[in-house]
Amino acid sequence: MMKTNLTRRELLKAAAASGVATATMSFPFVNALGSSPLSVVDWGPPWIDNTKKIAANWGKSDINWTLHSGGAASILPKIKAAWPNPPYDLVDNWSPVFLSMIREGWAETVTLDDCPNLADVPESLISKDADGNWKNIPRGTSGVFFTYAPDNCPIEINHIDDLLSPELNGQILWPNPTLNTNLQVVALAKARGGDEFNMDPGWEFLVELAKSGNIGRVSANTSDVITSLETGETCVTFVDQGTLSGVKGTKLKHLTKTDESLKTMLFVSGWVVLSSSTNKELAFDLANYTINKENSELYYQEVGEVPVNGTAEHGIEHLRFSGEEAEKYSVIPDWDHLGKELDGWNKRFETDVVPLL
Amino acid sequence: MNALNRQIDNLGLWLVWLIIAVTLVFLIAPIVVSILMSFDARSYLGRFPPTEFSFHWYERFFSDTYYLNGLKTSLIIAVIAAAVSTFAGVSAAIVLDRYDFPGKQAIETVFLSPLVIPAVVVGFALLLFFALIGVFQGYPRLLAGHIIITFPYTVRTTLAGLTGIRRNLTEAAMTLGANEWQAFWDVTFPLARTGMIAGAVFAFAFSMDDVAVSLFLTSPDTYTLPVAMVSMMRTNFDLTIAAASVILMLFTIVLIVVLDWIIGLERVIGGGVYRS
Amino acid sequence: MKNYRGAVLLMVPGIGIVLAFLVLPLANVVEESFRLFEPGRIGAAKDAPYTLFNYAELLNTNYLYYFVETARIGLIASITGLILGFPIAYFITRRLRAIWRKIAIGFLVGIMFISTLIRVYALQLTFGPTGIAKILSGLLGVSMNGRFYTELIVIFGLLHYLVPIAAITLLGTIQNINPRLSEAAQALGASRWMAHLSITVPLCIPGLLSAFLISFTLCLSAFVVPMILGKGKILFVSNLIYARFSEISNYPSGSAISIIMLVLSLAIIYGVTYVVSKRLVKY
Repeated sequence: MMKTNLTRRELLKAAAASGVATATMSFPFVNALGSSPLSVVDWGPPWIDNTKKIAANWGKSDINWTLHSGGAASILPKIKAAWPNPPYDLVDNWSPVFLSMIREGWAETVTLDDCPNLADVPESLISKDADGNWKNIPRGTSGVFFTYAPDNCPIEINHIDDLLSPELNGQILWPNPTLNTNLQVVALAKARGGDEFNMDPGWEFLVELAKSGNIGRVSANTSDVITSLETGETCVTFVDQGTLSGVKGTKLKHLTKTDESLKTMLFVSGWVVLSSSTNKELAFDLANYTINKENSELYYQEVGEVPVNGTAEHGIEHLRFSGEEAEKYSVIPDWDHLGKELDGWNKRFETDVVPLL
Repeated sequence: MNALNRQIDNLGLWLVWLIIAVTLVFLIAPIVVSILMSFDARSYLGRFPPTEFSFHWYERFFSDTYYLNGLKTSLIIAVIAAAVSTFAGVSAAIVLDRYDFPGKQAIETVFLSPLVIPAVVVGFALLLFFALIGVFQGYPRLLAGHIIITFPYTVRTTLAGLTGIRRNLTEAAMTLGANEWQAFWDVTFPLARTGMIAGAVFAFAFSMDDVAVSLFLTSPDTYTLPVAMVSMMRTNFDLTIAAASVILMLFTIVLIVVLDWIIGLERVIGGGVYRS
Repeated sequence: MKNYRGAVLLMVPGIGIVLAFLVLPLANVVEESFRLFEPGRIGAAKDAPYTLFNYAELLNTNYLYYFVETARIGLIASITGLILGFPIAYFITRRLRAIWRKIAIGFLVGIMFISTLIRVYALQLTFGPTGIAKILSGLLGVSMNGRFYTELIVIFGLLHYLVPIAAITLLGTIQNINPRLSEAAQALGASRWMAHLSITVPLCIPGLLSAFLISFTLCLSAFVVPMILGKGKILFVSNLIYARFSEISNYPSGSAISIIMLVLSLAIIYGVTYVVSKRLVKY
């Protein structure tokens, strides 16, 4: 079995390589890059604007910028397709995707020598591989939570069951499972006594929501969220802190400490230096530079996440939980599990939920 | 009877007028809206109509290397893809037009098949295939994608142009002593030129427009303008996209004028016999 | 003899392109579609075992829903496109003087050539919440976030290029019909309206069919229109494939959907063409 498949693949490869490669390689601009600039992947505004500003002050290298399109996991197939020579050095990403990258062996180990500023970061926030090596450079911690625009919303939202209110017809912006690694359904499950390992209560809740006609749009990216909330198309959603800083025209009330049924999911975001990078030193240097005290404060002001650098000041009250509050309102999900379930969850969303919308 | 007929006529005529008018408004209004919005002076995406006008979205477009890179790549890809497709398409069409051989119908069907194969399938297939053979640069992948989706247009328009040419002209030239290839270059080629040019223009236009195939085949430093626009629509839905649209529309207008100038629009779409 | 060698040489670029950029890649997709996907990974492993799972999974009635929805919305849009495009084509060929005819055709070609993205973006600005969504949905008595309005906007998105394409395809057909025929019918006492329905329209059937086929093909493979205008609630099969690639990296499943979609669209198009050409030969 395996043998036939190998030969077939090789056959295809040989047949095609002769034709395609020779036909296309001869174009002069393909290999035109001389000295290679640093290649950085980031989210759209506010992240990329902030990183660009910091990188301009840093100034040690030219930078090719790439935007994540859609969910942060969408960069993975692109890296996979190009491995071992993916065209990126430094990738801005978050908790669940860190684990995928570590599992694939793409994340370079980082030490205090590479990034001295990590000394100011609590070690518990740094992702590690099975041997305990540090694998990323965190920038911020943040949460994904329910929020709504009281001015555009016909009712006051105090409990998760308010989402089912008939008055909210068409008013909910529901993220599809590839956004937030489907934490929104985990949150629904939590409210009905389940969790990420027991998701059925969450799906049942979501099916009820879909049937109620309250879901006005399914968001698939940050611009959907920002545009929909800003234009008043919808007024309730489940969203991460960073995306919200893009919403400028609409006043929002964050439901982080409102009721036990409305959970906030906590995560870490930050840099991964790809182990394939030929520019590691520069990549580490830039990453290190972004988490110094001043830049961490800038990150808080512009992106709105809580900087991981303990020396930096911030004022995000709705994400500052006391021990008791953290127990009551917040959840730190099992990221590794989420990554593995995503395929099945996405299919379940396609089969069970979308047809009802 | 006649009075009734006239009433039915009038009613029908009004209905038709109404359909035409509403359809035209529907076709034009969104374009006008996005043109006007591209001059919106507000710094955010506000409601239509804009209250004040300015060029700042255009300034943003022309100062944003992301869009400009996309535009440059789009132009390079479209020119090369149109050239390659036209060369291959014209060659193939000549054979399909002039020779009879077993399997000819099948080959023609296969050549035209990219027209009916969903673009997403083509893009997905090319992505997997290039990963398999280890090609990851944007240019070769995008070129391959754009060549395969524009190729059928050039085959079809050239075929349409060639079948319109009466064989006897070529045959007359041959009885006058020209050999077959000479007859082709001197007689057939100039007459078929319109079909070829139309094919090349179509190829260029469709290459400039493509999203579904390109989305799979870009690399970080090589992406087309439409892909850049999709990317911006998904991350930062602002009016720079409207400015980019207006600029792309200018290209469209230039293309149409060129098309009309070289061959005449009515010939492009194929004229009929009875005209009023 | 010499000429045949020339002919073969001329075919080489075309055959090479189709082989390298279409046939081999599609063969690879077929192979990938039978691979087992392990969740959490990116694509199938090199030595993943073969399986029918990726196809079996799509037999779920809720996946058939996407194929049916794509076809249903496509059908509505294609037929509406013909109904709106026909009068325009007729008007241009029969009512306009040469110079205006040229301008009208230029306009249609222009609208047809406009990038899909521009179109979709323009429609989003116009019929979305920044535009007349509230007013139009109010007039129709529906919610602007409801299923009906969303579907309407997706159909608008499709119509915006189907109408010019249908009109342009029909121009030639209508020009080929002798106007005397319907004049004759009117002389025999038919109303002008009836004369059209009974004479012009039947003569246009081949043109209408080819316009329909072109429209329907475009609808089946529509991707950008539902992606931007469907609010995530209306997904075409193309969008499912893209999600498999970009968001969850399940290449084998994406491949299986691609193959099914490919087979279905080819079957529909060549099936309809075959039936139609058989029918038309009879007349």
